[in-house]
Amino acid sequence: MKFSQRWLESIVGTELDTEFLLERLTLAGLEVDGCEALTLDDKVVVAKVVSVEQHPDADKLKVCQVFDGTEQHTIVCGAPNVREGLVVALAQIGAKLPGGLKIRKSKLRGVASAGMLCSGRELELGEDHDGILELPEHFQIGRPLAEFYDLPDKVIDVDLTPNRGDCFSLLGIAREVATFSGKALDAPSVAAPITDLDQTYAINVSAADGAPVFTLRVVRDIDPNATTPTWMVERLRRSGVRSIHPVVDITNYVMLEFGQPMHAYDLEKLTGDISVRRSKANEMLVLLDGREVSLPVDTLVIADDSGPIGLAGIMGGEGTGVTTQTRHVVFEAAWFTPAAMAGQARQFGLHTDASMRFERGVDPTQQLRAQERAAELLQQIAGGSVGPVNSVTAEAHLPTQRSVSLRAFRLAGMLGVSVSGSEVDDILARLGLTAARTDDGWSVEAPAFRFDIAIEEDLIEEVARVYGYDRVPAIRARGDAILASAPEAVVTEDWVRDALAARGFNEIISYSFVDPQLHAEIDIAPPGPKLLNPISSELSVMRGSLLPGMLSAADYNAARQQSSLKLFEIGHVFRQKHEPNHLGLLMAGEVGEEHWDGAPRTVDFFDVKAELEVLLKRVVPGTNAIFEPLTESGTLHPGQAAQVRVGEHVVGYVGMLHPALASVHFEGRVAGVFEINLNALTDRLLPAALPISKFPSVRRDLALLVDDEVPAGALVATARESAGVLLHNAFVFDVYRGKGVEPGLKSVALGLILLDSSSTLTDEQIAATVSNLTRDLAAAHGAKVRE
Amino acid sequence: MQQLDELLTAAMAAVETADSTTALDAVRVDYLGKKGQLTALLKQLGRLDPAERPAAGQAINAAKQSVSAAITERHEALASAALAAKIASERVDVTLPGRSVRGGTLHPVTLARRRIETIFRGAGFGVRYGPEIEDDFHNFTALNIPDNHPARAMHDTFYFGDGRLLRTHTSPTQIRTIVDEGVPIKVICPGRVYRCDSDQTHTPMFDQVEGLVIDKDISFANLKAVLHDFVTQFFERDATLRFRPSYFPFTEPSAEVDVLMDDGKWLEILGCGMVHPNVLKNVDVDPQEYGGYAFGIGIERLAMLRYGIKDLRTLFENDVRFLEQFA
Repeated sequence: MKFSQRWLESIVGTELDTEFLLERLTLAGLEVDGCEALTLDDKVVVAKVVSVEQHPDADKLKVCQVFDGTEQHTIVCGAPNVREGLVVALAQIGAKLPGGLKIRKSKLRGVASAGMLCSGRELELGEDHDGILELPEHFQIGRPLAEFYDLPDKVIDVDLTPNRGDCFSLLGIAREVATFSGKALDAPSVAAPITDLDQTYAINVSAADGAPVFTLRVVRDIDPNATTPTWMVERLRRSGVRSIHPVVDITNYVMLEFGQPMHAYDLEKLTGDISVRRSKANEMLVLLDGREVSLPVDTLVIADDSGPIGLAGIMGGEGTGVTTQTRHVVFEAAWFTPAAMAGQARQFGLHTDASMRFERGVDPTQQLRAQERAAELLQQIAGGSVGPVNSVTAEAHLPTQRSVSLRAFRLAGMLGVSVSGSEVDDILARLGLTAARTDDGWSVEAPAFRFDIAIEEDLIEEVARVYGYDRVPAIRARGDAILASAPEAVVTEDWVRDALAARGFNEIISYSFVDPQLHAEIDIAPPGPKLLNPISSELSVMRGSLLPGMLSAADYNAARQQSSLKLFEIGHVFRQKHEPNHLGLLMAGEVGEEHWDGAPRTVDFFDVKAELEVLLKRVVPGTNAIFEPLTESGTLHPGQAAQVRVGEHVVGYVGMLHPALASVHFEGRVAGVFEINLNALTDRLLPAALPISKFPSVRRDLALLVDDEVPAGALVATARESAGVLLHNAFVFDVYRGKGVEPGLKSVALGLILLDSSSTLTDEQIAATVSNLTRDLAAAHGAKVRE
Repeated sequence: MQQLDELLTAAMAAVETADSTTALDAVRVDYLGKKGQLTALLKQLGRLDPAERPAAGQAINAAKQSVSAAITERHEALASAALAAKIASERVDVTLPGRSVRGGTLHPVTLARRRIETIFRGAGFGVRYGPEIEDDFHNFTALNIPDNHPARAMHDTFYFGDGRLLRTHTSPTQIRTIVDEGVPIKVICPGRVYRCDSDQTHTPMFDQVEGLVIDKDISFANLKAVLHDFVTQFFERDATLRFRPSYFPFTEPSAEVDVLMDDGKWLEILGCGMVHPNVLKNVDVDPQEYGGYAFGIGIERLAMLRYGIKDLRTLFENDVRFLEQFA
């Protein structure tokens, strides 16, 4: 909420130091969002235009004689509204305007001008720049204009938390200031207007649960030519409210002053009684903003015989509103319950000053006061005959006076500091709470404007707030030191991160929601659920894979001359019913740095697979991770991709990007990726140490000729099975095609390490093992030993 | 014996001129080998007068020893020269970079999250994670945010239209933890959260750590102490904090916490408060018996302060030139 410091001072009854005020507000829990200083140079004075003549050399300029209270000056002015007799704002030579412009003696098309006549915008006193400011006749010529505009001033913007509806007015802020200054606040006096009319407007409340208090007052025969006085326009403006019409301005003014939203109807546009009711089927309403809304059944509305004329507590209707032709006015001041107002404005996409206040809670006892204030102001500004207030109150739906207990031990226990009884007495009194001492503390009654006080903790908070959070000491809690669990068999995300960072990868974090079009390019995993209210269509579907995010990151970097990338990301991916935690990795461009001792080379499948194997070794015992060719993908290269199986579960994939996909990403450079479900890989077996054999191992190499289609992995698997316990390790150390090998065949060289833990292997054992193995490889894969 | 003197002189000269260990070996064979010239002289001793033999034998043996010693000395000199030459030839420019100099990096949000976890783990906090797609109950209702409460509007939540939503804070994980593990409890819940907000200082996705302690006799004073200690440890300098009254539906009293910056200004870094009794009731904990505190920290904010990051949005652009600075 924005407000003028000068206005606040007029209610508090004393001048306030701005720094002190801001500090107090902040420590009271009213967060200060901003503070803007408004000033006006004393060299901007009230002046009167004595005569206006056409400029000899410029069509649009006038040469004016202007009297500033002491002497007459020649001023050149281009405003269309400058005319003889007008009271104007004159920036004299040497004046500095709020925008920084300094007024100097100047010549305009050959005519000397001794100052400038200013528009509202030039003085930052409004938005109007169509012409110069037209000041009221009663402004005294020669006086600094600042005097009539209550300047200098500060516009303070506080961010109110939802529980403090009571501070949504100048009165509420003033109450807070008083509480913290320890001074009682004299509420602004309202002079009850003379009631010189006996007309009342009939009220018919059928929805008393939503509107326990509803009041109307008729004011007849107002002056249609009346204008809102400068002081009110300015106070409204400094609160961010535009002046529209004296009657509307008054309702806004009272709302800002007391926190009581009001509405004004044009009496002549109403037909029949005003009722407060729930809407029926198929009712429509054209709002003040010109929008036509269809009302859901049971919406709380204000209606007359013609139908709904306003959304209760939110916005009035266009048809019955006040216009420049309005002669007779009906003021409404009501109390709509927070429960009835909750969420109402939002369903129409509205968020009005009135709805914000009613949702948070308006004082249910101040409607009459607001009516008095509005009538008083209207009489001052536009005259008129004031009728009595017609008020309908449903006691049953009014909040009851609550008595809340505050126990001393609970206060001390929760705060961790003992506040003396007399200090608590004092704090409660300054808050305007009625407190009586009880055996174990206090029994407290809150005033009607404090909606947020219902339970003991609310009182503890209030006491702590006024006592000062800064006075609560910091005391370390005592307790048993519980030793943290340290599960060693769990592979943590952070272990994976460290491993990859150590291997030269940069961790990225991308948004969990992605562009559905980008996701559709990927057939590895379907996208997750769609957002109902995304920030934009590019961020509208939950990712089902980390790949779209990694591709975006790769594209982003490629566009910035970063041609070789090693990226990884850990994050949730989203299925319809669950969200596994995935690790994704991308390598693109070249591996290795450009180095003086060797050239980098283009990344290939085995670079990417190696990174996955490093991680799998930590988790999957022995050779239990199986790589199965993945040939049906539009995302991955059909000849260079595999799905990764551990036991029965496919836990991920690894492969080079499909050339068709790669051609539209990352500037066409080669890239490989893997993605793996970390949830499937977090548990490993704890290392169980075996004794190191004392006996020497023996190596035998076999070069096998096999059909080109036979996977090397299958040869190794058969070798392991066949050799049994004597085989310590088997690995492929060469794959050869070409000269000396028939086309369609390949030569795979297997290295076999044989070892017995209990004795040195004999030549016979070795020969037997190798011969069995050769036989089994021949039987299973048609492998021939190459001589 | 003139022959011996000449032979000795020639042998010594040959040793001196041998320029490799191979040449030196040839000299050794030539003079001292089985068929060597000095060895041959010894073999001729028998032809001498027996009276001259001992003296001649001694002279020849002395000559052999001299040659042998000279050869050993020359051998050592040649070996050390060879080693020096080898070393000289193997010299490298140590200012050239090693192979594969590029190191990887962790994301600054990861670095900050880990610091936070490490500090709180040290004080006995457990660390719990939870789902990012949540339901209304865990994200709102259980946290004392009833339907249509203004706080729901404050959050501006991403919805899926089937009652599910993207969690707006990690508090739902705290709710799940209390339900699963009961009280007393002392945990932090780091994780990714989402709000419909995207501008210079807001990203629709960000990271949070929320802390929760529920036990008997936990006070606001304890909360102040733990947060002061945390901020001090995180920034590795004694922190000055300011607790400002604020409002969260799930805590009361509630506070926002500012830290005093070097420029004398206060900067908001976290929100906290004493757990609201309704939250405890919602998870079947008796608020008269148990109480506690909760706090929520934005990880990005701390990472930015810690590492001097000026623009929040750079954290999610994944520009490697940015990321590589966090080695």
